[in-house]
Amino acid sequence: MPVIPLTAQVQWSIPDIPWGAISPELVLFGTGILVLLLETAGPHRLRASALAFLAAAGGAAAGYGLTGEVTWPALLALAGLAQLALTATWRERPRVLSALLSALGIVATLGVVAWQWQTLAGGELLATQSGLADMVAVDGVALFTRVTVLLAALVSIPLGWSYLETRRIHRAEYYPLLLFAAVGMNLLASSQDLLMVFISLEVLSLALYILTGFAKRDLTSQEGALKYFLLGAFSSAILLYGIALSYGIAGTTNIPAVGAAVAAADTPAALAVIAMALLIVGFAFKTALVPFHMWTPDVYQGAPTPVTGFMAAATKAAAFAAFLRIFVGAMGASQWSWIPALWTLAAITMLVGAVLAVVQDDLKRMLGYSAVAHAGYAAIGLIAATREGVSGTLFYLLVYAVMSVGAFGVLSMLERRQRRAVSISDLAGFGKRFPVPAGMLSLFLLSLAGIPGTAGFMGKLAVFRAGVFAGQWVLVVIAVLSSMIAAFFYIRVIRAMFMDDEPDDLETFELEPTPGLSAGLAASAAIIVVLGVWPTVVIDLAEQAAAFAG
Amino acid sequence: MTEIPILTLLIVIPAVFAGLIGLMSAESRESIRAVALVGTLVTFGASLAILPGFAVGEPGFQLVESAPWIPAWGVTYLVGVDGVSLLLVLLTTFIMPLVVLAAWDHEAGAKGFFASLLGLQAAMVGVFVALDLILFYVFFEVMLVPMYALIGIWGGANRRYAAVKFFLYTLVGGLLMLVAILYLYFAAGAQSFAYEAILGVELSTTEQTWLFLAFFAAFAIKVPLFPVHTWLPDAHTEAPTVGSVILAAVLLKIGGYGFLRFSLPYFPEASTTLAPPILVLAIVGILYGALVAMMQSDIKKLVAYSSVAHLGFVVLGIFALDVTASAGAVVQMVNHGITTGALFLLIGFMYDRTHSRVIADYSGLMKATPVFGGLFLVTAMSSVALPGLNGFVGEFPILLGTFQTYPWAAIAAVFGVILAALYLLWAYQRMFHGPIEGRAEGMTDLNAREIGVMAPLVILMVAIGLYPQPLYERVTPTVEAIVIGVEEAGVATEEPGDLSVEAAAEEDSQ
Repeated sequence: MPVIPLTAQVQWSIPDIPWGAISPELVLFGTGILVLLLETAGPHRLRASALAFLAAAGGAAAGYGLTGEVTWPALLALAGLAQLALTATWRERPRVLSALLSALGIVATLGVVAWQWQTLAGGELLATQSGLADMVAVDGVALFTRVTVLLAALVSIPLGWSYLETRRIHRAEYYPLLLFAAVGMNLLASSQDLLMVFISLEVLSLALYILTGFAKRDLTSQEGALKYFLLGAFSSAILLYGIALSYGIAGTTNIPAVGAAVAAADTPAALAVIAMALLIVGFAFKTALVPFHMWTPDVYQGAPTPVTGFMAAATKAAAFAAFLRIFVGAMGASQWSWIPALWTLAAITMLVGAVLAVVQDDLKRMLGYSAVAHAGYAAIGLIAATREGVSGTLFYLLVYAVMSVGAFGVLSMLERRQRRAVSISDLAGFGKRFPVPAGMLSLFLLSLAGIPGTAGFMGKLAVFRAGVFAGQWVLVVIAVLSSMIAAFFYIRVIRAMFMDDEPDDLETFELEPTPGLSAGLAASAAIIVVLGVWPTVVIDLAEQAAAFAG
Repeated sequence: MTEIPILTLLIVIPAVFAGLIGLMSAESRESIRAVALVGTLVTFGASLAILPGFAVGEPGFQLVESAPWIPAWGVTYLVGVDGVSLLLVLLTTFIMPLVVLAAWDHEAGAKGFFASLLGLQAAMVGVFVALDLILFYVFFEVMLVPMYALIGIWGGANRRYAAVKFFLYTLVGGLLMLVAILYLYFAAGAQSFAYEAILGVELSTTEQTWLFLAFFAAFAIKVPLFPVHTWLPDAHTEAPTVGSVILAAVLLKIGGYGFLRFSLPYFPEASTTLAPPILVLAIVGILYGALVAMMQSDIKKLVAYSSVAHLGFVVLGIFALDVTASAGAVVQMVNHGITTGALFLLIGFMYDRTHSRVIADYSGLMKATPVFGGLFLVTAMSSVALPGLNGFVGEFPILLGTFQTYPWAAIAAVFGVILAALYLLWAYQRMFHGPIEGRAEGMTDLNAREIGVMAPLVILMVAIGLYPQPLYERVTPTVEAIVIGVEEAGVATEEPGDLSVEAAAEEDSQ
């Protein structure tokens, strides 16, 4: 076991940084900073801007003094100057600019991911390649999850724009926070080291805590943010304990090394099990597996609706990617220790999520509980611990991201109309008045219910098939039971929209979908239908991405 | 290859027309219904093109088309027809233009309504021609959505309850089937979901029983078989006229089709063992349906329960495991589609005029509306299996064949025939004979369009009744192959008794 001599002279060497490996995060992060800088510009913000300029100038000077480098400090100083100039001259900055920039940044990141996929795959399967001193893995799971996260973030931008505008809580920080959360998720998906897992988890969580409380005059939003923060911090601590114990076993936090150490014969089984249990609990919080789901309904209900959609979809995708890499990838050899635990969690999650969703009247809460159930479905692929399982989970999460962002998106539109939370009875007659958004919501709900012809069915088929392959019959049957229960409440919403009569005392109202919102929803709906009818290409990509599980 | 993929076209054409309607303005009701009519007529015309290419006397699948779909999972787009599906496809394409014509004056939400009809048609044809289990499942479930909409949006007073019940019942059955499909796929080497790839898979007795039950759940609900029939009277009664027609004519047939296509060939042993209890359920359905029908005061409910009874005959014929009976069951499925479809249409025409379906509200309709009365009489006669009409040529072989294998079942079922005559003719007598009273007063007779809708149906009733040969010569070879397959498998598995025990033990240890 390597012992680090504390007194010895520590040789600091900057690791060879493979910029290509973390290029998606860099692009996203850069965009985030840019948007943030831009936001400080404005008529009332000259003082803040001057401060920022001073900071930049100071940083540049310090950088030059310490390293003797010219390029980077000069660039930094230039950025500060440009920002100050912008603030002074450009007084009527259109608000849509940040949204556009963020969207462009995400598209660019998607492009970078595609480039990575091209070069690293070389048209063939990917093996896990590590970079940045083994901190970051560049493999299919990372790439596929990045795509999922980025898609969800991309759609959340126009949805958020319209929503925040009408609720008059449009503050500039929305876009940078969204981008930073996406950075965290991207990093989490590619973490190859438990510390990296922890750091990226914190990055994304911090951004999400703030986003949850974004409607700062709304009490439920505040409540959600506080709950999310407290429980999130709690779960982070548990995860950190798990990481510490793993380090105790392996002497390193590198994930494959930890996996090998846990599987080693001389490792005390009890220690391994406890470490694993703590890791599982930590992740179960983030993925909202029952009984660690307690925060979900409140947070999902309180958060601004587009944020909820993003949170439900993207966090889950990223956390499952880490789940996959740690458990299926590294700890495949010690399956005996974690499969039963996860099996139990998944089974309870599917049933409890579905049953509790049935009794909800508030739509956001209902979708919140349904998100819990869906985490259970996605976990089937994880428990299968095979290549089919990994690809199934990846595919499922992508599909889930699109349908959940879409469903919450339509909901956010409705909420603006109602100016309050939407219950199922509020939807009565909605379909007759506004057939297009109601039809879209129905499509998303049918997809969530797993009706064929929609992507949701293909996703379920993927994970069920993986479960069957791994001999997890009981789990698949439980999933089917859960789907039966779940169908009931999805159908109930559709029934309310199209079949119930409009209440007489309803005030007249208009829906004014902005072009961005319409485009976002239409794109989600199109993806759902296309993946439902012709999922071949994406499934092949998921299969490719799952190569590391052998 | 320049061969026209005719079966694919039968799915694509209605789907395209449904999309076309989706693009039209909701205001233009006239053009929407015209597009719907053209769409269904074109599909019907195209479906007739199957006939010359279909070799009579061949038991297997013909006109097979295939294309890769999801190769990574072994899912293929594979369609084809045999004798059984041929008839059901033609029945579907034949009924649909009539349905559109019958709904010609439909007003509320015409766009969604006609688009649902065409979407439904695409899925129904798909169910009958799909030769890949996933493809089949996709069509099987997709169908739910437009039907759910038809019942729930355009149905009667209690439509929401009926629609949700219909949806959930069918979905539950379907999901059980999905698990069984996955199991079969896995047992067959996990290479392909194609129908024939799974056909030869070896299964232990326990496996067969469970899988049989899972498929049975899906199809028994669909047929519907007693005691899972309770969704049907609700759905039938609440659905708009054309919804009831489609439900009776096509949707219920999917259950019978599923038994023949999947249950018997895949699980011959379980089918043989479980046939007697299923026959009992079928007979209970026949008698119970008939008795409950007799008690109904609402004519539409009466016909709905009569469907339960008629479909009981179909199940009886299939599980009698006799070629004559099974062929009769297939023909009877077609007959029931035509006859019960016609009954629902007539009741719909009447309801449009008087807004009542209560039997006691009418008297003397024969005098008030002679054309309507005449058509109703012919249809009722067909329903009670009067010789010379189509009902007879289906029901009689069923009883005949069943008598060969399970005489007790045939004898019990005969009472159902008698009861059928009783409840329908009694209702007929109350409504159509006697002095003109109640809502019959001032009721106008059928108009040209309605007669036009009924004419092809009545012509078919007579034509099939007099000359059923074209139907039987296409169905019998297919059915014969299925039934012989079951018998052979039954013989083969009887001898090595401990083999199945071993397999069961193996399963336990998994």
